[in-house]
Parts: sequence; C-alpha cells; structure tokens
Amino acid sequence: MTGRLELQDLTVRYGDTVAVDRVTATLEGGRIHGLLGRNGSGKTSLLSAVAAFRRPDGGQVLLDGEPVFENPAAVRRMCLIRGAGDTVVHDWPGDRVRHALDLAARLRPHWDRDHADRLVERFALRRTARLSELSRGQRSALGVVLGLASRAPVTILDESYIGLDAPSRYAFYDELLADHSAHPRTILLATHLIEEVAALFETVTIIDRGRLLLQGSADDLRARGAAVTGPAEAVADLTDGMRVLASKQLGPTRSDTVFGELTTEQITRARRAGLQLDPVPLQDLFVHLTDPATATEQPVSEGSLR
Amino acid sequence: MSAPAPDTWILARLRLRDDALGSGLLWVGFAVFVFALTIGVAQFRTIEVSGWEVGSQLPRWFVAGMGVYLATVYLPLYIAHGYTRRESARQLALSGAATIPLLAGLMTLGYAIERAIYTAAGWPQQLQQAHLFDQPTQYPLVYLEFLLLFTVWGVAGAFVGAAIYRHPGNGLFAIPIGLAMLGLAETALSPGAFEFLAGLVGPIGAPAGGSVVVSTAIALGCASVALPATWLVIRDLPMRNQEQ
Repeated sequence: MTGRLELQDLTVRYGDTVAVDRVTATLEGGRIHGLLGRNGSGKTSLLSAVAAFRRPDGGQVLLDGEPVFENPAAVRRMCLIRGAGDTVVHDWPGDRVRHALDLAARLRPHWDRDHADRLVERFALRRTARLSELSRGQRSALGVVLGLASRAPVTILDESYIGLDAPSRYAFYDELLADHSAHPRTILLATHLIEEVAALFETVTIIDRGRLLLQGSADDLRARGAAVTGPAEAVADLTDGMRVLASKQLGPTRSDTVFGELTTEQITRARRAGLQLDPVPLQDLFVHLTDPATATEQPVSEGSLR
Repeated sequence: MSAPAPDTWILARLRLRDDALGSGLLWVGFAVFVFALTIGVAQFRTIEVSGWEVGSQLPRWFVAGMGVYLATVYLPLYIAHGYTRRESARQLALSGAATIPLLAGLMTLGYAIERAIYTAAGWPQQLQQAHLFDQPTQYPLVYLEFLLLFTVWGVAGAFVGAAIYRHPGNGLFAIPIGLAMLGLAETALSPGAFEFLAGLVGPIGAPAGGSVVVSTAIALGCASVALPATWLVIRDLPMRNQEQ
C-alpha cells in the first residue's frame, strides 16, 4: 500500500462548464506533490474528485489500483482539507476547536492525538475557542492540524495554509517536512503561493483551464526553463525556433525566457556569445505557461511523476 | 500503512448518543413548558382539552428538522472524514430508526403524565382531533401514531434537505413533494392536526376514522417512497465547498 494515485481521463463538469477536462496523471506514493494552477483553473474540482468528495463526470481515480469513489477502504485512507478546513466542522455556537479535534480523533483511523496536541500548541490554537469566532488564520491553522494529524496515507491540502500569517506558514512547512520524513505518505498540496512552497515539492503538476499543462519532478521542471540574457541580436539568434514564454528588452540588452531544455550546442553557443543563462524560478515558469496570451491548448508534458 | 481495525458502527453510535441525549433533554424542557402553560391557563379558564395534544404538533417539526440536519450537515461531515455516502446514510438511518421510537415513547409518556395531572386537578383529558386512538389512555395506539408520524416527518425532512443541499435552486421543488407526503400521512393518522397539509392531498387523503391497518399502511407507504427517493438524491451527493 503506497498511496499511489492514478487519474484516468478525469472529467468534472458543472452544467456546461468543464472544470476538469480529461486529466490523466499518476502521482507516485510516498512523495510530496505540488498541484499548481491559477484561480479557477480546476484545482479544487480535481482534488474533490480525487478524494471522492464528488463523483467524476468522466474517467476515474484509482488509489493503489482501487477505484476511490464510494470505496470505504480507499476513502478511509484519504484526507482532503479544503480551504480553511471548514468542510470538516460545523459552526453552531457551542462548537469549539476541541469538538472538531475530538470528532477527527474518533473518525480518522490513523489519527495521531499527540501530534495533534503538539500542532495545536505550535499554531497557538485555543481548544476552547468557538469555531464561529476563529479568524481566517486560525481557521487555516485548524485545517492544517486536522490534515497533518490525520496521518492519512493520502493527505491533501487545498490551499489550507493560505490564510496563515508568514511565521505560521513557515512553521507549517517545517512541520510538514518533519512529519513526512518521520511518517512518509503521499501528500498533495494545491497552491498558488508557488515560490514559498516550491522547495517542498518533489513533483509538480500544473493545470490550466481544467487541463493538464505540465508534469514532472520539480528539479526537472526548473531545468526545463531558462532565462537567456545579453545583447539583443545574440539572444534573438539563440532563441530563434525555441518556445519563448516572455521577452523583455532594455536598450541593447534583451532577456528571453524560454521553455525547453537547452542543448549542449546551444549552451556552447550562448557562452561563446557571452550570454548569461539562468534557471527560471518555478513561479515564473508557472506564470508564463498559464498566461492566457501565451498558453497553448495542448499539454506541454504528459506522463507519470516519479 | 495499514488502517487500524475499523469501528464499524461509529457514526450511528455517535449520532445516537448525541441525538438521543439531546432529544431527551429537549423533551424534558418541552414537557415542563406544556404542563406549566396548561396550569397557567387553568388560572384563568377551565381546562377542557388535552394540552399535550395541542403541543404535540411542535415535535413533528423538530423531527423534520433533525432529518434536514442529518442530510445536510452530518452526511457531508462524515463524507469529509472518509466515509462513503452508503456507509454514512445507512448509519444515519439506523440512528434515526433508534431515536424515533425513543421520541415516540416520550410523547406517549407525555399523555400518561398529563393524565396524572388532569386526574389530580379534576380536568377532562379530552381530545380535539381524530387519531388512531379514541382515548389518550390507549397507549399502544398513541405510541404507534407518534412512531409513524415521526418516521414520515423525519424521512421527508431528510429528503427535502438533501434535495436542497444538492440543488439549491431546483431542490426547492422537493418542498411540495415532502409536504404532500406529510399531508397524506397526517390525514391518515391525525386528520385535523395540519389542515393545510391535508388540503395539499385533497381527495386522495385517507378518510378520518380509517382503520388502523389502512392508516399504518399509508404512513409506511409514504416513508417507503421518501426513503429510496432520499437515497437517489444522496447516493452520489457532491460535497459543497463551504468557502464558495
């Protein structure tokens, strides 16, 4: 049991709107995967189908080869925390943080009470606080606690930590890494705060307008983009025929962001021409690839994430 | 990473514990209120009818609300915690099937307590409406009526709640369907309690004073339609994103 997820032609529709469009992808078990996409790109819809929060309108999701939807053995091994975690608690005036934690402790088969206690302290949550009175940041913190302490073999956090302030977000990153190291499992993080969490990802999946745009290991993806900077004519000469995601020029100096690995011959030519080659931050790559002005209709990469 | 041994009926036990305890406490408050009101009214006028009969209309709405709450709050909550719709629905139905007889028993007990108070005060415990029972002391029939009424009201509430949760717009069409079921059951079991519900089903409503068997069959028929209809709505219920 590795927590390997397979998405096969996964489709989610809302009436005539296609939110997730025939996405096929494999997420290997025991890794930290990043799911990137702009607002409205279909991340939450995709994750909802993955965690059986909704039946896919087409295709299917497999967990270790077993269909997920309405499969007790599969759904019991998954924990999806959406947004600030408000899907797993309700907000009656008497409902407090401790009630949400107690319920999770009773229902989650892998729940780690000690870990939950530690996280509650780390994020300065009051157990007696009313849920209806929590700030957005505290809600987010509760979502993070519910997700991490679930110790579910497949733990999915859909922008759950976005509402945290910066120190709490860094505490979350530390906790996530430490926890994953001590208890390896499949973790899927959906975010648009890319640069901050990029270092956590072992693999990255980018979706745009419901379609799979790019998959690969985080390192591979970083290597697949380059910023070429130097005299305008030499830059244009080198990047001619390549996929240029963005181009900026200041006086005689030009900088092209290109997508695709540079060949040895191109690197040699660049050096000879005195051009500067820099890696493209994942966030920049994401911004350029999902820019409606430059985005392609076709996926730029397909395959499994290993 | 293998899962620890599952606690198969955890959802039903959780709900039963909370709902049974909550219902019991609410009943105590309700009974105190009804009897205190009756004694209060007795200071100004002669008591001639059963106050419990009048007050017993309110718990029907409570049971319907419970059905709505189970379908719209607890079902999604349990799905979010890694339980299937089938598991959750089955266990919620089971907890309802245990809570409703308890509530019916408490409502029957209310008539018995009222009997003792009225006898001590010398008041007649007169019924105003037709029922499966002719006298409030026919406790088995009193129990049966509440059992059937609460079953239909609870299932109808779950049906309407689930439909509106699933389709906030079109789900509203479930309301007249649910009210029609209630109308049919009410005219069969307790005609006169809810005139507006009886009016919804008009001539197809069961005649007042029908046989216990026929009235029971009609009420069970309503529940038998509403229960699978509810399952049709929730069997692939999409979870709402509460942030949206």
